[in-house]
Amino acid sequence: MTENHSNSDSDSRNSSKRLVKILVIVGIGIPVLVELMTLFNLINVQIFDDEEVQEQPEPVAEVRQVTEGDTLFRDYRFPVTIELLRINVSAQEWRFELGLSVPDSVDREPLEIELDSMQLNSGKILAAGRNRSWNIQEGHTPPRIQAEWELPNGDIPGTLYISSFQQMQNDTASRVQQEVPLGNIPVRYNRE
Amino acid sequence: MLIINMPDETSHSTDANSNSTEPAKSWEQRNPEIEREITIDEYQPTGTLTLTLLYFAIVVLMWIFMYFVEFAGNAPSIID
Amino acid sequence: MTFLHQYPKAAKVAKANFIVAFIALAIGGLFGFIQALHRTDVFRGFFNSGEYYTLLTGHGVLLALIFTTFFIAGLFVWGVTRSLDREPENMTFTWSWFWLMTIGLIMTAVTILGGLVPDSSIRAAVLYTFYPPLQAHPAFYIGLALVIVASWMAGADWFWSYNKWRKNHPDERIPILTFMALFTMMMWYVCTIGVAVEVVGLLIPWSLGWVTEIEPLLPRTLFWYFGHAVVYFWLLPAYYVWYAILPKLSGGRLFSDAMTRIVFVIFLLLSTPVGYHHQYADPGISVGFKFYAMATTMLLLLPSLMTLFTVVASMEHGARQRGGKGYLKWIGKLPWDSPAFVGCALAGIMFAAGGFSGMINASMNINLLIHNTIWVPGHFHLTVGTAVALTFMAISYWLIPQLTGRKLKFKTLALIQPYAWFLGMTLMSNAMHRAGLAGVPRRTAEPQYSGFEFEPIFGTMAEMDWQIAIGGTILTISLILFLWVITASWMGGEKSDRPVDDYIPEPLSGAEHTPKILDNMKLWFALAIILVLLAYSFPLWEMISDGIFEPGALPRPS
Repeated sequence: MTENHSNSDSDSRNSSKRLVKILVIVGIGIPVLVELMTLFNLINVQIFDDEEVQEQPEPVAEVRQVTEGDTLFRDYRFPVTIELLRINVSAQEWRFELGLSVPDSVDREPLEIELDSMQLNSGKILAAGRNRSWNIQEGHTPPRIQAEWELPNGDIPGTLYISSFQQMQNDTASRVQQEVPLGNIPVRYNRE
Repeated sequence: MLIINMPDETSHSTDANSNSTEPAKSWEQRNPEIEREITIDEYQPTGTLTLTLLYFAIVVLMWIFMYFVEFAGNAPSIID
Repeated sequence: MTFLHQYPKAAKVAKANFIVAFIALAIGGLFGFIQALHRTDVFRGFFNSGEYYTLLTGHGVLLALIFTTFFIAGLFVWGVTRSLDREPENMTFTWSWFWLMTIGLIMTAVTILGGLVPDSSIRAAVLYTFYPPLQAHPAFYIGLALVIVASWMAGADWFWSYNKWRKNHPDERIPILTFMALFTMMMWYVCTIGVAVEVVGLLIPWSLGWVTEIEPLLPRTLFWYFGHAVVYFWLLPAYYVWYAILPKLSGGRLFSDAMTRIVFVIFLLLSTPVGYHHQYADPGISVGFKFYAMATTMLLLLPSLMTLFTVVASMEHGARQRGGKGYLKWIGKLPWDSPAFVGCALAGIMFAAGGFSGMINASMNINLLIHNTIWVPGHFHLTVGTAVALTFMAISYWLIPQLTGRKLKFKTLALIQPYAWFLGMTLMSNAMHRAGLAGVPRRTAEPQYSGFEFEPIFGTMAEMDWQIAIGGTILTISLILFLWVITASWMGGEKSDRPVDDYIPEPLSGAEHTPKILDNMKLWFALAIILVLLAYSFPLWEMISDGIFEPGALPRPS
């Protein structure tokens, strides 16, 4: 402005000008750049990538998923019905429950049902462990077949492997295993 | 300190807050940072008009873009 | 002579409010930093994921309710005292609302922080939106009720000053600084009725165990009756600064007194009857009422656009007086080396950007794309987190010297601070918005799930997480700079009779061109009440006939 400014004064004026320039470039320039890149990417993906997405539709799983009320071993002597399929949640645990039922006529012949293993959606495979098989003896009313697993929080069973020792048509007995892809499992919250 | 003169701290007015009487020199005349006083009659806020139009243009563009996101994508927005 | 010397009593009150506000800002900001690192899984060592929700509550309540309310009280004490040229009428009354508000704050803060003490039964991890089913310790609700009652008393204090002033100046227009403060407080009276009824009528009896079951819809509705207007309670004081002080900091004058008053009148009328736009996903409210709220919300864009025009025109006036030319070149002539100006200007730019995402939130259909995702925190960190908070910080560089009679120290750091905030917030908020579009939920300590991957529209989740964490870190550094500059200036700034130029020039188009009816407070207050009744009486009646007072009953069609 006027010439009576001292040297140091104009020095500090210059250095302050330089600081402002740097601050504007970093403090406003980078934000503007970030936003422009976002806009560019959004428009690019939304408008120009649409065809690509449609070209490769996700493969639709043809496998019929099993839910509560469905029947296993449908083509055998003793079909097994899924009576209960749910996840019980409480503050402490995340528990998967499975209940099966067999027809009353089972008491005329022996039947064995075994839960072999289970694959979770996270990829983990759980082995059956103890008490996961049921022997139904001749002349007894079928017991309640129910099993529970403590699962890692949030994990959901994807596939169940069940086998059954069944009498075949030709009077021989054989062991059949079925892979059961599970559908939607209802999650119930338990207030304690 | 690097910055000595903050513009909002250099101009020392003599009669702050005396809103009732008109100061002898206007605020603009007392402030060394100000080159000339612009009265309401000479003031044409063309820059404001430019910025406002820019803002509206961005809003309009975003809404057109929104049409593609919400309606033309043919994909459901909400799952279950 | 500056404010401290002219009005020593008011200066003391304002300073006390600012001290509390800045302490809340420091603690709440620290919590925000920890959250940014925790939820992005950059670092989870400070607290466990259960305690995250305590920090989240602390962050929300301390910043959105405590920092804002105390800062606003300090700002309005300064503005009303100065523009009416009178100290508060009765210091005992003035200090009693300050201390009541502080006691309430301490009760609330203690219950929140209790959540960090192992095995403590005192906890309040109920988030800033404190409605059922989440339940806090009764002291949390009682503390909040005290803060609200004390803020009513603060408003009454300013109306008292105004009435006394009016007796001596029967024919003068309400000074603009007082006008804006009083209209903001009138809006506050209208909107806090909802939260007061919620807290006193429902939450306190429920938390004490006197009532065991409440239908969540009613407290949610009452909260959001308050919950949207409260954002204007934060925003209007920022407008207060932008209208009254920012033009002068830019080297010009406020463009129009009339526009300013009209904007505040519209906010008084429309701020409250829009709460249902926070409940678009709530069952039990007819879609027609939600639509009405949406239409009103869109109308509210009008005063904000008017503000855009008036404030930018005032800044342009300053720039042209400083020698600016051209359509856009004048912007370079603005004082980009003044921390107070830079903070307010960048806050205004951020607010314009927040307007974009706000329009998405307000639209009933598009809202469902982003409802309850981290998009929403991304949005309000632009509005309350920057437009309001950065404005408050920036104007502190100009106000605190007037209140302490000391010059600002470390001006270089003060200048870096708003730029750093702008950079950090852009990074953080940008990534939050994008993550929200990918469906990442808000208010979640560990937003990752087994057997499920978020699919960002572009980029990767890891890149967004890092962007949030880096942005949050820059914001924290900016906050530390602010607190350091203010503390150092407050304690050790050079004493001066005139630490800043505190003169505020008259508007270009002054009050003499403003229609008299804009000053008719009774008229506008009555209209505001009528609009609220229109927006809320029918939906509330519908809820009652749906059985809101029979919690636990089976739902039935209305």
